[in-house]
Amino acid sequence: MLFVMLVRYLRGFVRVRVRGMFVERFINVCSSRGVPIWNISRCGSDLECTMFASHFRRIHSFRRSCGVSVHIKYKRGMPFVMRRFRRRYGMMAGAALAVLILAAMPQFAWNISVNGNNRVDSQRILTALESIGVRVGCPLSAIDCDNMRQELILAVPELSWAAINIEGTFVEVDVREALDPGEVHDTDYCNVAARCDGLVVSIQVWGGEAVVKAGDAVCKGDTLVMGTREYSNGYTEFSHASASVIAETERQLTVEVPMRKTERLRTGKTQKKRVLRLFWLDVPLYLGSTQYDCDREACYIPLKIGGVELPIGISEAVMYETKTVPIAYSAAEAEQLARQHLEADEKRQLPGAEILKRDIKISLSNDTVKLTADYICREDIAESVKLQLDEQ
Amino acid sequence: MSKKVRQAKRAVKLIGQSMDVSAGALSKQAHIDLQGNREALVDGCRGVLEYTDSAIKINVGSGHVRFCGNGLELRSLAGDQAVVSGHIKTIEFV
Repeated sequence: MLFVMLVRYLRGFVRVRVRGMFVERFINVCSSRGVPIWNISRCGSDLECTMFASHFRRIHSFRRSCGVSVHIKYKRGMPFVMRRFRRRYGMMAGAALAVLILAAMPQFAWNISVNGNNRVDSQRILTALESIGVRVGCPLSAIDCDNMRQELILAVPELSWAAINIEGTFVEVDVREALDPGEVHDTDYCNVAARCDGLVVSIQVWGGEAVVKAGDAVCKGDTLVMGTREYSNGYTEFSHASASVIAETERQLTVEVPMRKTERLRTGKTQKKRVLRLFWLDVPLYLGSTQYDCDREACYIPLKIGGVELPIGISEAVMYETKTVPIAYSAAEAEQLARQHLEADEKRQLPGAEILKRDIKISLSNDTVKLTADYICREDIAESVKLQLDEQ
Repeated sequence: MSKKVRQAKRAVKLIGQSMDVSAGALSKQAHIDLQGNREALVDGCRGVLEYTDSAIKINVGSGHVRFCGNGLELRSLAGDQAVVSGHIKTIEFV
């Protein structure tokens, strides 16, 4: 019934009052002439009924022959509403544009989601997709799923498999990452080799057969513990070699700090700018442009409905005004700064190493303070190296 | 009515009986569907002969059907389909 009412509203209908002696005849003629009428009610000797607006003109041809007069009581429906707005061209254009947008929007990709990646960054995959033509706002008909999935694998070598699926207006990209051939798992057959040059201090073997002992000097890449054992009958046994090999190593770190340099400093003046993003189109919501040097920090807030991200959102950027300032350090200040950098480098480059001796040399040349630190460390130099076995 | 028409009608009746379908469903006779005593859908309406609040008489080809009651009205009339609504007390075949 709701659908019928909708159709009646869209086509427009008129409520008429039929006055005359032979109103039954009028009803019958309407029926026979294909003029559907409804809500027929008696009002004394008169009759009231409703009919489609487009059929109203047709009843003029037979109303006289039926001996009745017909008067419109009221008109309702879309054609009459549209008639009221017929001179409002802007509104008509807006309505037409809305219909056009509704018809066109499902033809484009609204969102792209990447699933199944752990090591490879989603942004990298999205950039690769963009380079092969899959991006938010691209026509769905332009996405060739079979060929583009191959192109994606070629563009991102860390992927072993990819699939591009179109779900309505959303593009879902499922990927599988390739295994790292150098990665050693607990079940793999492997040797233990030296990560760097050193003098072995102690060795603790949990698997495999040690080929070095305390006091031996080893070079980077030397095998420390074998994952293979050969028997006199020709039989070879493979195992997962595992050990902790503590060795004294020599390391060197260098830090340079210039005494004169220029630095970009924020003045404290900030400005917020918002941009409305529609698919790939950025519509600025501000006037003017930034005339000064600035750092820009932007964040994008997409419009979400029911957890589904739409291709519409606000990109908000904060512009921090900066100025370039020349900075001059004294030799003591530069050395202090260099020592701080060196401390940070130690933590980063010598993790887990016990520093037995630290010898720091300071030199000054060309307005640059240079710190060269020589270390004698005690650290675990064991590194698993996978055995390359022929399957046969 | 010619002999052939009579034979055809008899065949339709037999088919209807064998398929356990009402005879009216396979012929051009009018159908009347009642929803309680509040609404009647008349399929095969050939014309409205009488229309008042208390009585509506409809031509159904093979005869006339008269609905009597209170507050009767034709809710719609499109093609050969009419919907009578109101408080129907009696239905007469005349």
